[in-house]
Amino acid sequence: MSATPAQPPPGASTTPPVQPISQRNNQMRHASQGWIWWQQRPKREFPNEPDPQFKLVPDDLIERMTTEFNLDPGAVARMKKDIDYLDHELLKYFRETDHAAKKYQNGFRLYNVRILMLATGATLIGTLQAISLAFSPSLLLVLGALETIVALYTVYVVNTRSTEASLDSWLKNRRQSEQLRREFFRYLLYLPPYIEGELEYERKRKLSSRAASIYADQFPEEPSILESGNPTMPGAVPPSTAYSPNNGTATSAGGAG
Amino acid sequence: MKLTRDDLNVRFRIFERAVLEDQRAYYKREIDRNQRASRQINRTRAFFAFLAGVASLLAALVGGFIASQQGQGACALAELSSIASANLDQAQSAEIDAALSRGGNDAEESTMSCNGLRIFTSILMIVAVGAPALGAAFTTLADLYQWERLASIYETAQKSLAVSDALSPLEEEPDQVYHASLNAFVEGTLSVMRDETSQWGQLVKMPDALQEYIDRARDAAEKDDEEGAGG
Repeated sequence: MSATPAQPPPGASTTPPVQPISQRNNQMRHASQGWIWWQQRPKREFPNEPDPQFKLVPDDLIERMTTEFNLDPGAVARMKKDIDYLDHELLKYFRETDHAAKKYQNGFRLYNVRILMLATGATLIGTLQAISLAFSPSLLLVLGALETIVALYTVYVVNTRSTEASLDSWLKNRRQSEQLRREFFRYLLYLPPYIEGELEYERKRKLSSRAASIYADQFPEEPSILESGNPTMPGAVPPSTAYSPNNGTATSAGGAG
Repeated sequence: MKLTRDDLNVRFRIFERAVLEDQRAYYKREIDRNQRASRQINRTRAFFAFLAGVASLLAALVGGFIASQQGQGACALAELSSIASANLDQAQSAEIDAALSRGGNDAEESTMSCNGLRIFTSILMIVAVGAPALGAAFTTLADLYQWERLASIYETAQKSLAVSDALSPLEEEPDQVYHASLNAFVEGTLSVMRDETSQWGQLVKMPDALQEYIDRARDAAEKDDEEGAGG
C-alpha cells in the first residue's frame, strides 16, 4: 500500500488551515474581522458570469495529495480521467447554478435591505411627527409630505423589483448546485447509481443524463448504498437494475435511455 | 471499471480533503462568523434600547426642571417669546422681545437657558423615540440573515460530520471491507451536506416586518392617489 503520509521535514511549520473550495472567495465579501454583519451586506454590483476556471477538485490539490500520500500514479491518472469527464459534463452546470444562487441571494438581500432602510426612515419620520406636535406644529406638514414620499418610493421599489431578488430562484439554484456537487462525488466514488463493474460508457451516459436532469430542475433521487445493490456492501441486493433518466430512480428497464 | 485498492485509496484521499475537510472548514468558519454577527447585532440592539431608556429618563428630568423654572416665571418669559415669534409678525415679535429684555440681564440669561433646555429636551425625545426604531431595524436584519439559527444548523452538521468521519476506511482493512467503509463514509458525508442544505433552505424567507411595511406603504400610496384624484 502506498497511502502512508510522507513525513514532514524536521522543523517544518504546521499545516495551514484548510480553506473551503468555493467560487465565493471571488464573488462575495469574505472577511472574518470587525463588524461581520456589515461585511455581509449585499453588493450593488454583482459579477454577471461565473468563474470559468473554478473546479471542485483543483489540479494543484491532486498534485499535493499525490505527493503527501505517495499515491499510485496509475490510479491518480484514472481518477483524473474521471474528473476531466466531470469537468466537461457536470461542472459547467455547477458553475452556472452556484453563481446564479449567489447572485439571487445578493439580489434578495439587497432588495430586503432597501425596504428595511425605507421602513426605518418612515418610522423615524413618524416619531418626529409625534414630537413636532409638541414643539413645532409647523413641521408637521413637511414631515407628513416626507412620509408620503417615502411610502410612494417604497411602492416604486416594490413594483420595480428586479428578477434577481427572487427568493425562489435563489433556493432553486442553490438546491441544484448542491445536488450537482454531490453528484460529482457520487460519480467519482462509484456511489449508487454508479455501479462498479458496469460499462464505462453506460456510467458516463448515466452521469450526463442525471446532471442534465438536475440542471433542468428535475431532481433525481440519490439512492443509498443499502438499497441499490452495491456489491461491496454485505447483504446487499445484486445489481440488476439500471438508471432511468425519467425519474432518476433505478428501474428494471435496461439502458440509460 | 473494476476498482483496485490503489484506486479506492486515491479517491478516498481526494474525497477526504475536497469534501470532508472542506465542509468541516466551511462549517467552522460559518459558525464563527454567524455567532459573531449574532452577538454584534444583539449588542447593537441592546445599546439602542439602553440609549432610548437613558434619553427618556433625561428628557423627564430636564422637563421637570423646566416645569419648575416656569413656576418661577423665568421659563414662562421664554415661552412667551417663542409663542410671539411663532404667531406674530416680525415687528410685533421684536417689540415683545424688547419689552421682555427690559426686564434686565437676569431675565435674558434665564430665557436663553430655558431655550437651551427646550432644544436639549427635543433632542432627547428624538433619541428616545428614534433609538427603538433603529433597534427594531436591527431585529429585522437579524430575521433576514438568521445568523443565530444558521450557526446552530452548522454546529449540528459539524457534529454529524464527525460521525461520518468515524466510518472512514482503515489501512489494515481487507479490500472488500475497505470498499464498504469507504462507501459508508462517503454516503454519510454527502447525507450530512444534503440535510444541512435542506434545513438551511427552510430558514430563508422575507421578514414579516418588511412585508407588513410594504402593505402599509401600498395602502398609504393608494390613499394618496385617491385623495389626489378626488381633490
